[in-house]
This record gives sequence, C-alpha cells and structure tokens, in this order.
Amino acid sequence: MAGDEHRDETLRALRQLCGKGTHALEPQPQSRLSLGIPSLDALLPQGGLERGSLVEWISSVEASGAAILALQGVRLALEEHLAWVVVDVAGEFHPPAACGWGVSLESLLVLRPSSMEDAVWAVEQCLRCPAVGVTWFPSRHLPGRPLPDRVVQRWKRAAEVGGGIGVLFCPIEAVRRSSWADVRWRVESKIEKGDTGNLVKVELISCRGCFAGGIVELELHDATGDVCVVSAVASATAAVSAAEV
Amino acid sequence: MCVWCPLWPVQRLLSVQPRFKGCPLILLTESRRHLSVAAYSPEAVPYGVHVGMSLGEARSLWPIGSSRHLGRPLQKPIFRRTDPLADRTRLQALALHCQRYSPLVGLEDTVAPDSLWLDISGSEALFGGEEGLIHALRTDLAEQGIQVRIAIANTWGAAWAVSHFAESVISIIPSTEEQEDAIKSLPVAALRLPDKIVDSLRTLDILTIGQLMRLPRASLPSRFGKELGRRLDQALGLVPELLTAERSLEPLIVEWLFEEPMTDRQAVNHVCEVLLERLLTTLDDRRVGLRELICHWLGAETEPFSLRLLRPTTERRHLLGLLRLQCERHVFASGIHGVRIEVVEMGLPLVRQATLFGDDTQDKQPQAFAELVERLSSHLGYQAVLRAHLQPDPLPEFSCQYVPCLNSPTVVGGAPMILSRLRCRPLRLLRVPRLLSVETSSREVLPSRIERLPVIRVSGPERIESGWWRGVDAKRDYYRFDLSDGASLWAFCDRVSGHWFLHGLFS
Repeated sequence: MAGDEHRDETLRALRQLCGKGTHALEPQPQSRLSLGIPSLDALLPQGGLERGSLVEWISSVEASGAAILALQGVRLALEEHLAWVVVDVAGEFHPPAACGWGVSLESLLVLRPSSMEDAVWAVEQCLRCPAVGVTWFPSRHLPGRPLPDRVVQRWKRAAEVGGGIGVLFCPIEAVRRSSWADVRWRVESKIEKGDTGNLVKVELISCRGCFAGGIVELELHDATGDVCVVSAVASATAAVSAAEV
Repeated sequence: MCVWCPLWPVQRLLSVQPRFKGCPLILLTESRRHLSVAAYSPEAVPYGVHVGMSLGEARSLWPIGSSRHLGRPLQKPIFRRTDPLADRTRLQALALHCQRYSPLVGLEDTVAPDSLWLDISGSEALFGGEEGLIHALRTDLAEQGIQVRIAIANTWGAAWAVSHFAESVISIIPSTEEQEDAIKSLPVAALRLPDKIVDSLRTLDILTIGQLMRLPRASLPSRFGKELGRRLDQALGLVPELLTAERSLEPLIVEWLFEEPMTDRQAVNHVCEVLLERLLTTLDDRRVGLRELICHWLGAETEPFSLRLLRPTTERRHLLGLLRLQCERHVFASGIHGVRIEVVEMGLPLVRQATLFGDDTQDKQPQAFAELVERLSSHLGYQAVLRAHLQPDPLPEFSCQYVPCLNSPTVVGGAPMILSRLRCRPLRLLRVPRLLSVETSSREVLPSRIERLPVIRVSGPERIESGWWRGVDAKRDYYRFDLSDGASLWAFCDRVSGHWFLHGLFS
C-alpha cells in the first residue's frame, strides 16, 4: 500500500511537471492593441486590434476626420514601440497637428520617398521592423491607380512579422474592392450648423475572422482634444414638435 | 606663435561664398529675444552696424528707396546666421594644414576659437628664421583668402595678447625680458579675461597690464578671483599652459583595381563585399566600429556614394545589406577600373548584453530601429528619412523643421507649444497654398461657397502677420471652413491681394 501511495504521488508530481512544460510551450495569448477609442474597440472581437494588422480608413472626402481618429491609437501603440512612421510621398504631412492631439514628435519618423515604388518598399520595411508601432500611409490623395492587391498582401505579411499596425487611408472607391486589410472602417463627416464639435459617423465594414459590424457616431473636440460618443438622445426640436401635436 | 584670424566667422563665410566679397555681410546669432548681430564685415561699418544690435535695428540702417549712402552707391546688406560648428571645423582644417610649419598646431582653448597656436621651437630654422616662417605662413594663408595677425613670444598668453592688441600685424618678442615690457602697455583684455573682470578693472581705472602688475599680487585673488592671477602668470610664463595639438587620423582606405573595365554588377558587388570585409577586419583590430564610409568608382563618371550609419557598428550582415542597397542604385555603363572604399568616420560600437531571462523584444527595439533608419536612408537617401522639430514660428510653413534622422537621431527639447492651438492646425498642409474659387458678396464678407460647395460652418479668424525679416511680410486671416460634402478646409484670405487660398485639410 505504501508503495502504491508513493507511486501515485510520484505520478502526480510528474503530471504536474509535464503540465507545466506543456503550458509553457503553448503560445501565450497576446494582448490586443487599442484604437484609443473605446466605442470602436467594442466593435472589434476581443476588444482591440490584433498585432500585425492592417487597418483601412475609408472616406468619401479627404478632410473627414479619419486621420484624427486613427491618431488616437498611435499614442497607445507608442507605449510599447519606439517609432511611428509616416510615409509621406506628397510631402504634405504636418506634424504640429499630430503633436496637438497628444502624439510626441520624439517617436515620429517622416519618410519622403521620391517615387511610389520607393514608398511601397519603405512601407514594407517599416511594417517588418519590430520597433515600429504604427506605419501610416496616406495614399488617398496620391495620383495614379489604387495599390495592387499583391502589394497590400506583402504588407500584411510584413506586419505579421513586425507585430506593428499598418494604417492606410483610402478613397470611397476602395469599399467596392476586396482588401487584404484586417479591419476596414468607413468614416463620414456630419457637419451641421450650430454644432460646436465635429461629428463623424464611423462604420465597421469588415473585420477579418469574424462577422463584426456596427456604426458609432463620434464627436471630435478641437478645443479639448477629446473624442466622445454622441449621446443617443431624442432631438429637442422633435420633442417640441411632438408636444405641439 | 599665435596666428589670429580677425573676424573669423566672416572670413570663413567669405572663403565659402566668394560672391559676398565687397558686400556688407552681417552675421546674426540667436539671443533670448531676437536675432542680434554677432559679427560683420568692414563694408558694414559705414552704415553704423555694431555687435549686439537687433536684426530690426540693423535693417533700419539701410535707407529704403535710396540708391546712395554717404555719397557712395548703396550696397545691399547680406544677413546670415553664424555657424560656430562650421567655423571650428574650418579652423581645425586650417590647423592641420599648418602642420607643414610646425608639428604641433592647436586651437586656442575657448568656446569659439579664432586663433591658432603653433609650437615653432626648432622649425623656424627650416624657413630661414622666424621672419621667414611668418612670411611663408602669411603668404600661404593669404592665397586661401585668409588675413591674419601673427605674434611670436615665449608664452602662449603673451603671443595671444600681442597678436590681438599690438599695433603691428606681425610682432616678434625675442626674449622673456622683453616679453614683460611688450605686454605692459597692452589693455587688460589682452589677458583673455572674462568681460566681467575687465569691467571691474575698468571701474577701478586699471586699464593696462602694467597698471595691473603694479597692484599687490596677494590682493588680486580676493578682489577679482583666481582667473586674473592665472592668466597673468600664464602670460608671464610663471605657470605652464598646455597646447592640445590637432591630429589627423591615419586614413583607412582599401582599393581594388580591375585588369580591364568592369560592367558586371555582380562582380562589382562581390568586390565591394570583399573590400568591406577587409575594412571591418582592420576596424576589429582597432576595436572600433564603422560610422561612415565613402565608395569611389574609379575611372567612371558615376558619383561616389556615401554610407552613413546611426551608430558605429561592425555587424557584417547589416553592413553588407546596406552596401548592396547602394550598389543596386548604380549603373556602370562605361565600365569602371576599380573600387576604392574609404572610412570617413569611426567610433566605439555600443555593445549591450541581452537579457538573461524573459522577453528581450523591448531591448532589441533600439537596434532594430537603428537598422531600419540606416536601411531607409541608404535606399531612399538621407534627405528622405526625417525627424520633425517644432519651431516657434507663427507661419505654418515654418512651424516645423525637418532634419535628416542620421544627423539628428533624437528630437531634443523643442519649442514649448500650446496643444489646443496646435489642434487647430490641419494634418495635411499644402506645400504651396492653392488659390480658391469662392463666392462672396464683397471683399469684407466671408465666402458662402468654396469651389461651388456651400459653406456650412466657419470658425476663425486667426490673424497671422509675420515674417517681415524674410523679405515679404505675410498678412493672412485663417479660417476653418466646413463644406456641405463633409470636408474641412483650412484657408486664408491674403489681406494684401484679397484672394482666398487653401493651405491645409483637416484629414
């Protein structure tokens, strides 16, 4: 009996050791990267972006506020990574505005390639680098045809190696095309007379690996630097009209 | 021997930009509140320029709309900023050049040196005496467009004092006894004293070194500090003064000559790799890393390329990769006779031990980032990989300065800015403001339509009136226009012409 007890105890200890070993070999679930806007994070599976993702911000007009929304996530990504790279082919990116939205210029690296081929190469290099947290490519105001699929596919693979996030800004025509991007947002500006902030409607078009979707209305406040969800309350005018009836 | 180059920043700039010769050249330095005059050429003297006056005051000395000044044709002033680093570098190069007159040549020990010290003990005999040496040196420097004042004495302090304050351009003090007499009549500033001590002595009516020497020596330190006594002793040769001589490093060059002109890229690449391996082996022996190299294609019109790194390194794999990236950009149509690689700069490589346990991803990031910057700079060019520095300039186009990342790996400090004001700036700023077509009832009224789109909301104005020192004064009223299609524009009304320009988009 004593021998059996000893054997059981030994087996239990071995089982524990093996369990530890197996557990150590299992891939640890990686934490998700936040977009910096909780209401947008809530639309994504597991509440954030997977590392090594490509994110597309699609808007019908350029100055719609998409870049300001994307900027909110940069600040958080830079807590874990050294650099934020902006591939600025047009040479029109204006860093002081980014500084105003709380992103330190100490982490910013601006690339000004002279050709589209060099830009494509540079984006891939940045995505592949583990020190780069976010790689921006504002392609929407560039002349020429949209980026070929194989290019974006290569970028996707590079981002998976580097573990950072690739952010692309695309025109509205991109909605109709399939994309290698993991997450695609559509942004529409809703400007109304008398509003103090800038209202934008953000729609999750697609998210790789799930059937996610949803629409969020946000308000951007230049004065305070806040991005808030617009409260879903009834319009005051409508209420008065109902009372009159 | 002390060789003083009077107005060295001006002389240095004129040697680089000969077209400025004969023009009133005024060099400016940034003070706390404004740009002020730091140095000026003799041509600016008749206009009344003096050191310390602000840029605005200096500009106002030139009459507007007149072609003559004091009976002479009016010369347009040229304003440039001082470049202390370039001044020092050029003086160091001059010191190395002067090693043909003495093996020990150094710069005077100050923040902004403008004098060279030469230890000519024994070398004067090679030029037929001290006069011969001075003549040869002056002629040599004059050919380079550099005017100097030279003094020879037994101490550095005395030579400096005589070269700066004696009446004659050339002074030779043959013995120690005469040295004391020679400096007695010179002002106290000739002792290289701080302005504060010179002012204190002046208030006590002590104007010359002779007057100072008559004071009881024991009382000097308590009244004026130790610096005064030290400088006086150095000038008299009572305490030693050391000369730090400039040394030129032994050049590190490797070369490969082909038997016949070579056009095959693969062969050239292979030769480059072999030469780089040789260089790195030599650098390993010296225990230093490579910071910058330049590669010449012999016998070809192709421009040499330079490879600059963020930090010194000896990592072969990475360096070979960078070299291949550079080689890919060159086409050898007519063939090359050889390859020569020269090390321009080296330094101590930073070797850091990796973590023993745990995730070392964070530790690897600086190295990965440095490699990325070097790779990007190598392929795109140094001017395409940039760091942004905020500038305290109200004009948007000048509010950010871009510096190649290899020259400025980190953004240090920066101008203090109000964040809420920066948020009113667009993320996309056009390089050149674009003329807008607007619909407005009159010039005083804001546009109701821009590019045919109705304006939904306007905020502003932000009046910017600045930049007069650049030649054209910008007078703009900036507004943010929200259009019916959802776009937000940053446009301004030029108050001079009344036209509307698009300057940015709130992306």
